Amino acid sequence: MSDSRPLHIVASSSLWADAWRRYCQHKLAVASLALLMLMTLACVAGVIGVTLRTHFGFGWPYGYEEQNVELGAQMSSAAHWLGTDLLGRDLLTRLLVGGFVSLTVGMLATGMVVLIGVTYGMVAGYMGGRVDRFLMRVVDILNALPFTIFIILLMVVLDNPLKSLLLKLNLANSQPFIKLCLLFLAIGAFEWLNMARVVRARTIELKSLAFVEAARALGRRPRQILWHHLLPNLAGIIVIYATLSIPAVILLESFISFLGLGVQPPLTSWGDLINQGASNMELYPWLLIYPSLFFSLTLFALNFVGDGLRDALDPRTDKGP
Amino acid sequence: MHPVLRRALVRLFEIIPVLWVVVTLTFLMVRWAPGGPFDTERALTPEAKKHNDAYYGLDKPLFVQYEKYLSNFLHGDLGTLYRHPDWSVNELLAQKAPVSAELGLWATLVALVIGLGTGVIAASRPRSKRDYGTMAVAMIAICLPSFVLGPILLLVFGLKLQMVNVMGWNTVGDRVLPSLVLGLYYAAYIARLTRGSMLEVRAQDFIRTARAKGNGSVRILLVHMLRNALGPIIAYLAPTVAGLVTGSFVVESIFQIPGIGRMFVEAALNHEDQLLLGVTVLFSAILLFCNWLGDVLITALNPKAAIE
Repeated sequence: MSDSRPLHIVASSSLWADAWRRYCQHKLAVASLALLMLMTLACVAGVIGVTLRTHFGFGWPYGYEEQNVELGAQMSSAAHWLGTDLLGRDLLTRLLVGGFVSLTVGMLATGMVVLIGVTYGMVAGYMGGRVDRFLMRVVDILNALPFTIFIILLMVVLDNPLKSLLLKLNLANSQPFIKLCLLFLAIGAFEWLNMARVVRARTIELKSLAFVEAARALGRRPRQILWHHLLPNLAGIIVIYATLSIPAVILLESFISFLGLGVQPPLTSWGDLINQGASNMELYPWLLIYPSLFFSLTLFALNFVGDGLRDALDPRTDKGP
Repeated sequence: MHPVLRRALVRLFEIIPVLWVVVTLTFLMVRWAPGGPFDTERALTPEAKKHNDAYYGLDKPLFVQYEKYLSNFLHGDLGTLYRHPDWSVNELLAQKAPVSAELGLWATLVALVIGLGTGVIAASRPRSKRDYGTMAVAMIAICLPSFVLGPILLLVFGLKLQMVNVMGWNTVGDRVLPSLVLGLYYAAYIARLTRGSMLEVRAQDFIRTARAKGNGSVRILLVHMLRNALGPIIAYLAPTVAGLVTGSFVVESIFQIPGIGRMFVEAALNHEDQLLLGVTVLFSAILLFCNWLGDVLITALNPKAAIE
């Protein structure tokens, strides 16, 4: 350019671009994100492959519930990369399908956490006064309850009625899926408390700022203010806490499935696979080791992505190691 | 009255309505769901079912049942099992609770000693290799939940090296692995909390004053900086101890320990509703009590919080 102006005029960068730049400085977080994307893609590909196989006869070489009892439990080989379980089912296929189930439960329950937590927190924070006190008291009470027990209780209690309902509707085959829905509903119903608290605190901070005052002076209705003015400013913190709640939910789901109370066969999840591995670990240790590895690595990656996002989007918070 | 004491009493009375909500909620959850405890038993004839329902009062309206349960509860009676009428929930709990409590206390000890120790070590030289190393180990421990760590340790030390028994709760050796597996996860959290709270005050004036007065760095670390970590640790520990002492479902299942946690899982698998109800109420009561105790301790440490 022939222009002689100094070249220090840079393109303005948005909050998200800034955050991305900060995130990329955190090497472990970037590696975790890559690992997580790889894992998700593999699980999705596995599920698509298995579905194609059951419906059209091509795609993945194994089904997740196809048994080969004569083969039995085998170590890894060229045909079965991670070996097979006692019923001769391909472990890698089961890990991918189980991972898909675990990740899906994690996402769906987190979606519920966001929906309930954000609405609840914003309403409490924006309304203030008596409404706020009442709503937060409810959160305190719920928080004081042993919610793992309540989730298990909810699943046990709803099990029988659900079974009879499905029999009536001639849908007995879809029972594992319904049970799965029940699991994520039960988890989501208790996990939103933290999100509500954080969102409420930030809403209270934001609502006293000038731009909200201006919007109110211009005659905008509370719902519009919440939706158009507060929500975009809450986005960062919502993303952080949603990301951090995914590993918590996956942990809870695996925990419940490990106890045999969650995902039901023939469907599987990582917790269920670890459980099966643990009961056969003496003779077939790989049945325990591979699922544990998949699960722990994913949990590790999710936690680091959450930490990285927190550092990137909310520079005010105390940086962890 | 002393404000700390007053706050403690107020908080104690606040537990009562919460506990009432818990009892009511769990009762309704268990009883409202269609399908009574005898509906799934195929062997029962209609007459026998009717007899059973009448015996346990299940034919009465829900409110009458609720009233009876509540009044029994207030008299400390949690009822009997439906399938085994000669077993009372109280007896079962009295039998299993000591085991779970012992395991929980050992695990708490593990969590506290290892957590505080590594937290202080990491905070003693912030942003050094030592700091990052210990915190990385803590992160790994957080990502290895008990149902991963338990079977793997059992595989290595129980089955391969044969250093400990694979199951049971008889010798001292039987206590080691379960306590470690249960406690390590919380130890990792406590280590992170300790380090974070200690580093928060590192640059503050009172630390500089303490140093200027000639206090050794170990004394500063353990007396002045660690004190700041106590509040967050107690706040974290209060609900944790409740969970640990009342039994971990997973650890008791893995190591075949006859505690409340395993009993709860079995009750859930067998639809022993009366037992589920009893355990839920007991857990909630213990958790509420521990939260109260934690709150009192934190106010005692920092009386400013009592005068809101």
